[in-house]
Amino acid sequence: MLASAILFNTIFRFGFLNYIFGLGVAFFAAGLWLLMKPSFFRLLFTLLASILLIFLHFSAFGVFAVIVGSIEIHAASIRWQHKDFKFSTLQFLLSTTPFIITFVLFMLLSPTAEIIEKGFAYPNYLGAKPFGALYSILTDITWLNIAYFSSIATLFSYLLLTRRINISSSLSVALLLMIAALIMLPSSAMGNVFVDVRLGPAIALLFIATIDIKATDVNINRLIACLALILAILTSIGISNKWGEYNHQVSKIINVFDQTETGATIFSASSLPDPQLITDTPERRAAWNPSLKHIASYAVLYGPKFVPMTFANPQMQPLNVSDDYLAIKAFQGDNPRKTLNGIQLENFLLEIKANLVSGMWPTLDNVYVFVIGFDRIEKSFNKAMLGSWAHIVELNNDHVLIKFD
Amino acid sequence: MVKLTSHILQFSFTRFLLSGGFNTALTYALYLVLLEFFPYQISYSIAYASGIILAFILNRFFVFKSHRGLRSILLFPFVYLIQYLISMATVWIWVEKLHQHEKLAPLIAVAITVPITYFFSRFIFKQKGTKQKNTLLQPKFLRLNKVLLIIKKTSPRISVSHTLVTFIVVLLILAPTFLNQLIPLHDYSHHLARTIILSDLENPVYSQFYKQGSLLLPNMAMEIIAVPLAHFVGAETASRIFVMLSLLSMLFGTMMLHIKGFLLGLC
Repeated sequence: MLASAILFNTIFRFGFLNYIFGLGVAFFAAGLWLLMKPSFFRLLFTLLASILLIFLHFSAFGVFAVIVGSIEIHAASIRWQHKDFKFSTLQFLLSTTPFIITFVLFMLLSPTAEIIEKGFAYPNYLGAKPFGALYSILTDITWLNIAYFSSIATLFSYLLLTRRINISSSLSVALLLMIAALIMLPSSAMGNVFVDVRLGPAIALLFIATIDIKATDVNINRLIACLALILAILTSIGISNKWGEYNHQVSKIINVFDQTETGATIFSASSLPDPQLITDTPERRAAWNPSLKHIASYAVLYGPKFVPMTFANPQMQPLNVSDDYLAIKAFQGDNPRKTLNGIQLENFLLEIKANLVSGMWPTLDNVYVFVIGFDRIEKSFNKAMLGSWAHIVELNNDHVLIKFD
Repeated sequence: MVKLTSHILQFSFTRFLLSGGFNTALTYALYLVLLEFFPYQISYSIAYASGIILAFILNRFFVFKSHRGLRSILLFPFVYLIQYLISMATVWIWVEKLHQHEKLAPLIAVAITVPITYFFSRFIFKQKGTKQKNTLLQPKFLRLNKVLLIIKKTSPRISVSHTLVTFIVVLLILAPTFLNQLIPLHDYSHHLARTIILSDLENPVYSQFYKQGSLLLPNMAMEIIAVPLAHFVGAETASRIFVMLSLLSMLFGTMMLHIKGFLLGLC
């Protein structure tokens, strides 16, 4: 239950929901796998679980493979000590076949395999991994982080000093392998970012699963239950309040889309700094209060619209943009256009205008540009440049909606 | 009459059907009451969560009159997940492939899922080969978890307390998702937008701009769960339910791995 302290982590806040869901299912599947004795049925279960997990999230499949693989290595190493080398090696190799089959099927059948090397990159400095992993398990509420880590560290130290801790040997091998994976994996691959540090929450949760308490009396268990309850209450209050504030702020902004027509096309630009994983400065923390980078995608809450920024990649999502509109999607990309000054925004508007006029794009009825963080560039933006071909629909402190006439 | 009733109630499947009917009636009543205070999405979510908790209690104390400790608690939500997925598949086949009337689809789904749910529930509640009344001190159960063994020896009531604490923690963890209409996560707007579009792809506007892509892709957990669910509860609620499931998945996944890891490592 102490795992509840890790739930609202940075990877969750980034909205990597497929991974988060898949991670839990991977742990659950590994728990079920542990229930089974080595048999054909367990191999079949491993294969089915691997296929399911790869559909949920590729990294979840990796986490499952690491846990199961490490337990198999642990078991094989024990058998090797008993001079059963040939048989145990064969059994270990056999246990890897479901993962190999799953991976081969993925490479043969999935369009994602075409971009397996896309964006393959390692961080520039080594500190990025441990720092990234540390920040990946934090919430965005400082007092809550302090409450979590001080209480869990105090409890863990007390239990360690009084020798009430048990460690699962097989899971500790899995924990070590997971840390090794964090070190070895690239920071981005297959179009995904934070491929390595997203293992931070997995490592933290695995650590919690690896340790146990020698409960010689009920009071220790009651103490831990109380701690879990207190942490859950603090989390609930802290996160609910924070989300309440964010909801108020976001709702006020996205109301602007109520003024756009059904079938409208909404381009997006942002003058705000992007939220970063490592929030070690006030500016970086402010970028999370709340993160507004992808806010334009909320436009579809106000009826059917076309927001080219919404993720729709043939190799990554089951939703694709129609062939006729691919040029528009390519122009916008998967993120808002970065407009750090008025001139960049003017250029963005002129590019859209040029494309609309040139006939390069199919005819679009109502075209808008939504800019978030407009207050940062308002002074350097020449509103007169809009002339007669566009006008401002709504100008607010932090955003502006411009319509092409 | 009393004799007949007691004879019928001897069968756990009969008790299962009765408790299911009772649960449905009660959660529906709760849904109607909550509608007076909250929007339908929140009312439905609270009623649905309460239905799962009530089903657990009824199965534990009335239908099977036994349980398998944490195993029952951990696996029970997954019975509902399996039930949901099978229902979805049944409804889809009935309407899309067999071209039958869609109003009948839920009834067919219920007819198929009730026995399946019964067998899954029986598997997670009933102890193997025993008709135990006092499950707490049985050697077979004790082997399952060394830690719980000591707790249960000391206090047979701790199991109920443990269940209660787990439910309270779960409700507290889910509270932010109940209380807020939008989940302020960085990529959530993209996820929500995709769920809205994919669940309404026949809309002329969406079909003009978008098309269904390949389904042989990784990273589709939300599309697999939230998009079909959106047809019943709306895309916004379906997306929020998926966020809740993500939180619960991490919590219960870790608990499951912890218990089984120690079964392997220590016992």
